[in-house]
Amino acid sequence: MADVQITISVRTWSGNGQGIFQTYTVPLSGETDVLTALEHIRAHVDPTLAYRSSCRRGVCGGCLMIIDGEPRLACETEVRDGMKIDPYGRREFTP
Amino acid sequence: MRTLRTGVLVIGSGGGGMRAAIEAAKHSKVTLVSKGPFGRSGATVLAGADVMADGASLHRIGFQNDALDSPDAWARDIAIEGFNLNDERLVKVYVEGAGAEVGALVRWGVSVRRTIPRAILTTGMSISAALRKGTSECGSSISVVENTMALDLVKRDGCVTGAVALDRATGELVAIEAGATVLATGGWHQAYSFNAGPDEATGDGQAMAYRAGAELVDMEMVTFAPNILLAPPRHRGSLWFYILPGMLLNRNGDAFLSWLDPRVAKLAQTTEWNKLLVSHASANEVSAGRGSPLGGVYFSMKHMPENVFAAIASDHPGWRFQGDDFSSLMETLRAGDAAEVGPAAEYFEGGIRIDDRCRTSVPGLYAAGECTGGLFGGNRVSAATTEMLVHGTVAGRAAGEAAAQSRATPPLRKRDAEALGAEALAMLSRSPAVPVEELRTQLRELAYRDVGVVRSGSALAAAGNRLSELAEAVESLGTTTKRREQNLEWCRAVELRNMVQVVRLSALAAFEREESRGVHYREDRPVVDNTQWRKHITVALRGNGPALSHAPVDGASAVRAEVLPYEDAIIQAAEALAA
Repeated sequence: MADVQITISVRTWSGNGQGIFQTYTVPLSGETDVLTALEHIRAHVDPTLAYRSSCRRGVCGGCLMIIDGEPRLACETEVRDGMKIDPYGRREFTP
Repeated sequence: MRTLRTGVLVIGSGGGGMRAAIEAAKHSKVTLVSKGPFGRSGATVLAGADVMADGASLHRIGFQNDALDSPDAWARDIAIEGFNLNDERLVKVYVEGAGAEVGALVRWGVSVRRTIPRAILTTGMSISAALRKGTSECGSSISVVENTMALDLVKRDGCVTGAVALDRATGELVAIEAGATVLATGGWHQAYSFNAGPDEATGDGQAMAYRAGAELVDMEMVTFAPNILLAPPRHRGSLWFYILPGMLLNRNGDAFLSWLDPRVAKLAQTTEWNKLLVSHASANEVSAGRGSPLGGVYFSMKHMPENVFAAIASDHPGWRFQGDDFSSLMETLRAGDAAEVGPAAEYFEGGIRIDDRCRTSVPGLYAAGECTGGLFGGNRVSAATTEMLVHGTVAGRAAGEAAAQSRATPPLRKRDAEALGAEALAMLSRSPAVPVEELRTQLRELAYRDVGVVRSGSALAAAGNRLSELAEAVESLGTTTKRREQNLEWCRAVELRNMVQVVRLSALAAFEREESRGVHYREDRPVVDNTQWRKHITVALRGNGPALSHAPVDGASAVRAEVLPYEDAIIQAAEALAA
């Protein structure tokens, strides 16, 4: 049902808090947020991915991550082709 | 395994958990365990939010409310709304405790936008901030352990003596010994493929209580909120069109809510009965083959004159709601398109059975808020925020007093905690037969389809069989991700086991209740049967599996013993509430 496919890179966990950026292809059907894209990757491509989320409505602030170099809420940011997403960008991180 | 020792252990850091911690701290040291970040996770921040109390109590606090209202008048309405399945002792505690809770929130600085006849209107974030202030005023009496997920309750000599928990950051297991334990873990929203809850709401408290032998009640009762956005993915699950005025249409273009009886339509338009009534009407359109492509119905604003639309726009600056920006979606509605919406799992009337001091059937274990059952009977219309606050206070006080006694519960045996922790660790050592996410998707779709808005005996029987298989499958879950730290897959596996157990209990109770009552609608039994079914269905772990029983409704006032068509029972309730 996907209208388009995009490619994004996401930092994965490597045990020492550094991690490397992996590239993933995500199908989109309509306006999609970064959090939904990460959920798709974890469910269908790479179950080892970790990130934090709670309310999905931009209220709790739990999914704050570094997106294209800026701190942004994953649930409130529209995902775009070529985006670089770093769930570990925060100093203290817990999925 | 590291061991922490505390007086009262509170599991869950939403409003119920915070309120319990504040009250328990008057008597005892408290440890508050939060699955996510403290004060920024759980369902409370998402609340609408009205906090209810009777008009006279609000009047005494200083609001311009009806001084002639009373807790008793409100209690009568709650029993009608709950299809007379409410535990009336719990209703009494709720209505009589509500005023003091609003007063406490006001003292902690909650922002009150305005009042309506039986409530103050505020936001979930403001309630959460007020309770965080209350928590911080307790100083070192309350220790908060964040990002830590309770795995199981630890028992000894028939008593709950604490819990074993998982630090999600490090993967370390920790045993927490407590004189009394309070569960305040919320609902099981995430067990439904379409829901309006936070990611943490996975039935952990209900499942842990069940495994510890506690009785659960009214598990078949699940409220769905209507008009929840199905698409685009970015806004899926939002209540935006639940709060906006509009017209619901089926795929033939019929405004199907106009088919409701006028007395019922008034309830649907003016009260939170809309959850039951509009969800039901929407689901009926879908099952009659008149739904939208995504399996919902259409929400339209096309009928509105420009200036009416503009007035609504001015009430919602920037088309923002919670943190979401709906401006691009609203452009399409203004242009005349309709959005696809449907009912989403939103509140759970059933849960852990408690008495009027929030004690469960297992010594040492208390429960508060949405994870409990019995207060709202078959249908919640009054505020869940008030429930969490009143229960929090009552449970916190009872647990605090118990923990302050020298021999509240026996000491926790470390090997018991280690044995329970080993079950979670075993998930890391097994390879997955079926991926966690695949089983999770299967469960969620089954729950929404078969334990959803419209149920039937045959679908529930088939679901029950599938859920027994899933219950076996989750006992041997394995993860692809083997590390202990930052292992989201592992956390989801633990949650999946809880959700499967809880949905299974809900489906069993829904199959058992061979009638329709409140939010439980059986298309094969479309009658409210007060001759046989005005009673609770309880369920508890006995031996290796769930055992169902029936229990009388505590303190129940008399109702006429008759069998009524479901629609007539709703009309009768509408007339009684208007009287």
